[in-house]
Order: sequence, then structure tokens, then C-alpha cells
Amino acid sequence: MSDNNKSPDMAEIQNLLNLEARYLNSADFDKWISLYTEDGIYWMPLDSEQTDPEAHDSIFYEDRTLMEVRKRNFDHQLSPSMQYPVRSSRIISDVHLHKYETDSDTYIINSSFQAVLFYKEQTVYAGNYQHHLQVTDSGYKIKLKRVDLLNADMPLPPIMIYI
Amino acid sequence: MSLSIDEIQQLVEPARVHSSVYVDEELFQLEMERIWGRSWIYVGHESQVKNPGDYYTTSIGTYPVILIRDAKSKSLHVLHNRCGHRGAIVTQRQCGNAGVLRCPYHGWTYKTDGSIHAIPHVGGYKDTEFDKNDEEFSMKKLPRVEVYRGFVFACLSEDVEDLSDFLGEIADTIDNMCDRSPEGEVEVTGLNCHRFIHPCNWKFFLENLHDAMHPMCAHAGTSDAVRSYLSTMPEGTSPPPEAEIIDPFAGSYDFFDSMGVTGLDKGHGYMGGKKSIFSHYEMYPEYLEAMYSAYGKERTEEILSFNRHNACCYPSSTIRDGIQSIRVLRPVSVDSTIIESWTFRLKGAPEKLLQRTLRYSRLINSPGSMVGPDDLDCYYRIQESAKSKSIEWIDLQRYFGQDIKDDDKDTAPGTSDLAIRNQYKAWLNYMSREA
Repeated sequence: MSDNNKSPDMAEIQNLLNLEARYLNSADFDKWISLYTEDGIYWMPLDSEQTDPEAHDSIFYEDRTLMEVRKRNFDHQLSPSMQYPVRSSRIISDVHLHKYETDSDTYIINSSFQAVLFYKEQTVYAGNYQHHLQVTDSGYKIKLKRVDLLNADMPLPPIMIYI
Repeated sequence: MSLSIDEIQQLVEPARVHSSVYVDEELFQLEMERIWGRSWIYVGHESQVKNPGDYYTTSIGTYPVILIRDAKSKSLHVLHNRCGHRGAIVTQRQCGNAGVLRCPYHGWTYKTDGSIHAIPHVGGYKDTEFDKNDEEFSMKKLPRVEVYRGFVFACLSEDVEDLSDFLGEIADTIDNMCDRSPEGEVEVTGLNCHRFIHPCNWKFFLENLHDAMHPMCAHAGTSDAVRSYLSTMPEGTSPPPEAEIIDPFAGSYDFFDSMGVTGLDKGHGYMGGKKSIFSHYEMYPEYLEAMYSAYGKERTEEILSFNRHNACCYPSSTIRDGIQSIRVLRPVSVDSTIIESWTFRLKGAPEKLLQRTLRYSRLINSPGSMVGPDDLDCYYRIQESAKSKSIEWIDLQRYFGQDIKDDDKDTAPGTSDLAIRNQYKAWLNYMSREA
């Protein structure tokens, strides 16, 4: 397949990652979910060595169903933990093509990030993102976003929004 | 210490507790000595240290300890994680494997049983009172270590009953978790667990385990979010697997009352027995088949009809037989506690069961879950009130005076405050014993 050397449109990918960060910064879950494929997954492992989300525990491993539930839970008036403002801001850098998987026509994009979450107090999260992107009729869509926190295996406060 | 036994006893009444038990620094230090220092504390699971020399570092109360498998005899030891020389913590690694343990400060090395292996430039101790064989200079062994079906407990004090006497009926919960494996054994699903920071006193976490008046209120947001999403699904669609886990959190008061709550000796307790929030879980045919061939039909049904929720092994852990998890309390200070959540694989069972265990852990116990932060926020609110002294006494009288007594246990409708009153009975017993 000549696709082997298919080079991605890095400008468009950079734009997608920025949009994703912007939607989360403004807690706009509808727009955020629309960036994912129907079977898209958001995954935050407990351990950066982890390769199989079904064999080990994870901090997050959520499909569209859970994204939809979380959207409805966010800011829910009956939730005690949601009575406080949840504010966040993300910076992404070093966005680059890790590899192209011919079989699944997937671009694997690595980047590093810093996210500041304000929930009762200000907390900095940092680490690496890995986005598995598929080309669809409406451009690149996220099939999997893996978030490896620097301190995933350390004691953590509640993480009130996707990082 | 300035608090007398008499003063301590005035903090706990039969149906209310003084709010200083959550905020007083001196009481916290006394709890570490008299409760955490004198009872069996859950340390870890054998499967975390499978091979000779494997170790795992943790704490008992505020003491750093290390669980290690002897490199020669392969038996398990729990050692104080501090050098016999100047007292430095010997290893700061979470887990690993070592033939000898080496203190990085002056290079004293220890065998895996804690005894001294070698000391650099040892001549300097000639004609002093230093004695290589004196336990004082070793990485001291904890005086009591016992294993119950793979679950390792230790006690800082020699003076404690045998583990099986301490566990009492809680052993049935450990048995049931193991028996749910066709091979009769469980193992940890990874060397990491959730470590969830709780900015509150350790006792709030235990008190909430059998507080059946809160799920339908504190978790109403999450169950409403699930319901609201399900209502958008086309009719006839089968609900997502998360639904069976979240559903019971919106259970009615009658549902929880009918589960019942039991208080045992030493502050232990549990909800349910035959019925729990796990008893309606889908039964996978391939699992039943594996269980039938291991145990036969009758015994399988007996095992699977046992259903407790949050068996509390006071003061250090809470076990869920039906979903194979244990949560472990690590008190840090009077207003800070780390809650660890460990998940277990049922050996010989289909992967689907492990997947459900992990799904439950992510949905309910992960710092990223929607349910855990709501519980935590409720404890935090009482912690803040106690700290500000805006509340003096905390009430515990739901169904007070109506417990059904049977030998060494009391039972009540599930929404009773029985379990909390029972925990304070044990608290008072421990705290009333001076050194």
C-alpha cells in the first residue's frame, strides 16, 4: 500500500489538539466528544508501563457512554463535589508523529502537556499525551487518547475533569 | 501526653461523639499508639512479593515498614524500614527485589530477614557496646506477622491475640473472596493501586462504609446522570455494563434497610450478608461452569449466595468479597489520609470478572471517578466544621437502642448508625488502655 509513506497534515493535527484543549478548558463536553470517533476512548493508566487497559486498573478508561455520563454529571446540582468551580488550562507542546499504522490507517501522535486544574486549590498535572487519529470524512478524529501523568502512581487528589 | 483516660472517655457517648476526635493532634498520636500500634494492620498481599527478595514498602500507622520475602527461606517478614545505625529510611522504592537491603547513607547492609549482613570499616566498633547480633542494630522485625489466605497482617506490638481471633467473622469475607476463584486463590492485578488523597481524618472513611443513608443523596448526581443518558438510548438497547454498578447507588431506603448492618467485636462490621449491592450482578455462564467443575453445584451456590458489602476490618482496611477489592487506610496526619484501592484477579476465572472488578474500581474508587469525590467532599465538610468548632457533638442515634443482639454481634436495619456506634465502642476500648 502506497499509504505506507502517507504523511499527515501536521498543521491540521496541531489544530485538532489545540481545539481539544480549548474545549476542555471551557468544559464544553459536547464539542469535546465530537472530536472522538464513535468508538473513541479516553485512557489514563495507573502505570506508564501499562499496555492493556483490560488487565490492570486505570485512573480513567472511558468510552463515549461514560463521556456522555460525565458530561451530565459535571456541574450536577445534586453532587456535593460539584459545588466548587472546576477551572482548567492546558498547554501542549512537541506535537509529533510517533508512527503511522498501516493496518488501521491510524496516525499515532505524541506530545507533552502541562495542565493546571483549579479545584478547591490549584494543582499542576503534566506528562505525555498520545493521540491515535483516524481520517474520516470530517477530518481527523480521535480514536484513543492516552494520558500518562508523571505522578499517576502517586497519591492524587480528585481529578474533576479530563486532563 | 496530657489527655487522661477519663478525659478521653468523655468524648464518646453511646449515641454521639465529640468532634475533637477528628481534629485533635494529641488524640491522633494516641490513636497511632493505642489503636494502630496494638491491632492487626493489613500490610499487603502475598502476590505483591512472589519471588525471594521481592519487597513492598508501606506503613503501619505512621511507621514506615517493608514487606519482604526472605531470599533464602522464602518466608515473609515485615521489617521496620529504618537503618539500625542512624535510623535513616533504608529504601524509598515502592517495590523491588533485593538479595540484601543497603542503607544508602553509610552502607550498612541487611539480610532479607532484617539482620545485619555487613558494616563498612567495622573495626571502629571494637571495644564498644556495638553488637552485630543485637536486634537493636538490625532492621527490626515486627513482632507479629500472620498471613490469612494470602492477606498479610502485622502488629507493632507483641501483645495481641492471634490473627484469626482478631478477624473473627471478617475471615469469612476473605474466604469468600478467595473461594469465588475456581482455584481458591486471588492475586493482585498490578503492583500499583489507586492512591487517593483524602484531606480528612481517617475515621470518616470507615464511618461512611456502612452509612446507608448517604448513597441516594450524595451520589444522586451520578445516578441521575446515568439515568438521563440511558433515557437517550433507543428503546430495546441493552444498558451499558456500567449501569449495573451505578444502579444500586440510587437504591431506596427500603433496599438498604433490608440489606441490614452487622457490628462485630473490635469495631469490625459489614452490610448485607445474603444480599448486597453486588447480588444482582449478571452471572456469566462461563464463570458458573468453571465454578461447578471446581466445587460442584451445591457448594458453588453457597459461595455465590454470600454477599457482603464493605466488610470493615477495623482500623486498617475494608474488603469487598463480591467485587474482589480491598481498600486500605494510610493515616498521614490528623486531617490527611491516603486511601489505597487494590483489585484482585480470581485465579482460573474468565477475564470478564476481572474486567468488572476494574470497571467498578474506576467508577467508584479511582481519584478520577465520579462517585469517590462526592464521598470525600462530604467527609471534608464535617472535617471543616470540626476544625472551626462550629459543631461540638456529632449525632449517631438512628435506630439507637433497637439493635438485635446475638452473642458477639449486633444487627440492625441497614440505615442504622449501629456500625459507627460499634466503631466508637472499639475506639474507646483501645484508647482506654494505657501503655
